[in-house]
Amino acid sequence: MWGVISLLETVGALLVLTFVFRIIFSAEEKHYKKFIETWRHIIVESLVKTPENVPTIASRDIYPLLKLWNYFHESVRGAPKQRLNDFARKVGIDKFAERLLARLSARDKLIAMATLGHLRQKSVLPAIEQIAATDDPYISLVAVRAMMMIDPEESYSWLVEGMRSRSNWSPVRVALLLKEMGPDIAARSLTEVIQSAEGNNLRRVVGFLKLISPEISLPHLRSLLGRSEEEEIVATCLKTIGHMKSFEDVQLVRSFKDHSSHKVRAQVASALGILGTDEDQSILANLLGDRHYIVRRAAAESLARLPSSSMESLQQLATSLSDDYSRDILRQEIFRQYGGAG
Amino acid sequence: MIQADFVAFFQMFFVIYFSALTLGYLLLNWMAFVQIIPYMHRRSLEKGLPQTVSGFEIPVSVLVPAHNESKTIVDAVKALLHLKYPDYEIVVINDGSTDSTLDVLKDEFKLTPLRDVYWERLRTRRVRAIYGSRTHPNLRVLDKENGGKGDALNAGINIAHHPVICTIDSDSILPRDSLQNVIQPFLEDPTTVASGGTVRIINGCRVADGYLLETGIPSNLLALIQIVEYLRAFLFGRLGWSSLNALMVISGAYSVLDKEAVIEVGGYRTDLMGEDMELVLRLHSHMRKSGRKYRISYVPDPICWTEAPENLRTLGRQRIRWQRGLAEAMWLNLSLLFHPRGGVIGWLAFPFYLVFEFFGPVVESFGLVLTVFGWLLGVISLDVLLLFLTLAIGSNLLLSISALLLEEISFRAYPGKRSILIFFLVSFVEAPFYRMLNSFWRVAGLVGWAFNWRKSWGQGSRKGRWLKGTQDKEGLSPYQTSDKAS
Repeated sequence: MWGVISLLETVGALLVLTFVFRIIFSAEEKHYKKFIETWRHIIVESLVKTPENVPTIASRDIYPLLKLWNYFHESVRGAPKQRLNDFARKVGIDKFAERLLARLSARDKLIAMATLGHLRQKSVLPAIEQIAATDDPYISLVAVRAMMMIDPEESYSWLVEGMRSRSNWSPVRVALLLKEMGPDIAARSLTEVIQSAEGNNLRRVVGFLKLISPEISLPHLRSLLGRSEEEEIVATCLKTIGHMKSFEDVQLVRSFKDHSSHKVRAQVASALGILGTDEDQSILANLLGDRHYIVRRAAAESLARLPSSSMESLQQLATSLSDDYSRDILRQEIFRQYGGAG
Repeated sequence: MIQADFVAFFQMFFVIYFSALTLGYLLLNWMAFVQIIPYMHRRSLEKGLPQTVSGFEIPVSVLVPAHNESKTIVDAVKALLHLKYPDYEIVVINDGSTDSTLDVLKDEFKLTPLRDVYWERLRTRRVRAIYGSRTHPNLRVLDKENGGKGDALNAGINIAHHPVICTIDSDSILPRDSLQNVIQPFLEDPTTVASGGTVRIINGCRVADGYLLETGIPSNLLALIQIVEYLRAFLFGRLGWSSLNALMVISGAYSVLDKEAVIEVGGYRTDLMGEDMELVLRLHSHMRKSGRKYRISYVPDPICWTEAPENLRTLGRQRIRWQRGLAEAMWLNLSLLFHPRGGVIGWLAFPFYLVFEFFGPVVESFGLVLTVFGWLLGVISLDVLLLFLTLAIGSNLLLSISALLLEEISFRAYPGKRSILIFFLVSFVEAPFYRMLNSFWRVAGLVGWAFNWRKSWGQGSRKGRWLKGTQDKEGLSPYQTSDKAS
């Protein structure tokens, strides 16, 4: 009997709680809608002049205000960013963010770090460093981003160390961070990481080389191709060389045409489609007969991209091929490129 | 004396069973709460900021199997063409449709035959042709002989160009950012081999041209009941197990999978009703036994909206099919149970499913019949009858209200305070009536599986009211996924 009563009491309590949450959230949503409407105008105005009649900010409005301000900050480029910072300091957004940073809630910490990063608030660096050391990959990456925005020189080692050792950092987020930090920082940090990284770590960062300028990345790529035997790394390096249109490396690319890994041979075929000359027709024709489908497909696509390639030349090549697989894959490509005529 | 012992045993057995069931699900619920709060915090920050493309997003091949979908397929493909994702292709697999599915696709998307040569890494029924769209370069249509959903998906995998595949039911309504959301686990953790998200019920919602415009509450009681049921199954069922990397099911209505991993385990089975659940279990089994690091993840965001049956006949058939799919999938992967390398899935999730999902309906149906008859015959007292019913109803009610609370602190997809009250009242009806009925259906599913009865139970009727020009749509697609909320 008591069990039944306590069960029903629990159900009742949860129902009341659900209602309470709904009432609170509905009221909040209504309030935020109005709040955001008002503040959107004020923030837009702050991009051109100092707004007059800024309303007072209640503590419940701090989070939506910071979110809105961050949205604008990440949507604009150049001088307006500084104007947004001036406005933030004028209305006390910096102080609000500092307050949120000290809170326990992850939500508050995240928005606070994003805000303080944009504001380049140096005084909070030690506090953010502590957060950057936490296990949570997302929170630590947001923290390192904020630190890099505040003081790239001081925080640089955190970025490098994170890229080197935090295998749980999302590659996409790291790529976004490197892009955001600009080519110089990206190049420096990647150079440092690549020189000492091995195995999984190296596999993780080598793809980022395409984010930096060819002058810096190409020597690394060449060196990696010379020293690494891992198929993933070699394939990524070849892909990046092709992506960077490094014509001077065409000979290096060709040297991998007989590599034991089909992933590498496929990248050789793809890269030759970008870098190759008519001389590469014979290499690609050979790769058309590769026992791996993806190599054959890449070779066919690349043959169609060679400078003097035409429907007639490809058809001629297809007719001359004795291997059925080679012929089929090439005819597929002719059909793709030239439609029904193939 | 024997009778008294039996009654005592019976009483004790059901008290322990329902207590364990409720406790187990409450633990999952607690884990879901722990997971969802930080998830919503992250989401709040990310969705509030402008979205940027890194250039490192994984390209995805979206596979859409279709069989006799001429009335819905064009809207479905149009909606897919507007997904917010930087790099994806769509492959529609026309699996031997006998209606004009292929013709409407040809007309609408200006299809021309391609001479595609591909590597048949998974054996399938004969492929008749592959078409490319002149208007949408990222759309291809594969026309093949009928072989069922699993076979169609395998054929799609064979011609997919990208390393990650996304399988979608052609009658699902997808939010534009659904692919972006469900692919997240792959972007965050390169060891991810599969991910899925929350499927919700579209009945009562306002939809136009394949897009969800506004959520709403259906007037049909069965649809209402299923909303609560889906909330329970997805929000805390899957989120809880996902946190332990022990997710047993990813809805085939919308799943994202690592193509190589799927091929490595042999692709979809073509002789099952629950091919999607079976594949997930096989992936777990293969990865666990080979000692590889992997993740099968769940994102709580609503990624897919689907129509729920509004009559008992269709619903019953669906549930029979789901239970049969569950039984097939578990039976074929029984070696995972208590396997030395089975980890949380082999030692916790699998046994849990075996006791509460596989045998659960039998225990509940048997218990109800036995209790009612026992009471009628005077063997069981009214107290025991009430205890049984209260435990069955109370535990269900507690879990439903927990799911409502979880929904409240996360997505709040259904508007107004009234919706909570409606769902709560529906939970009251669901617990004593629907749950028992569902248990009987599920027992029928188990019996069907055990005696290998005919597999054509998937046919049924749905209204498809939201789809443009489909007011007269009859017949549930045979490609309805087996486990949308099981």
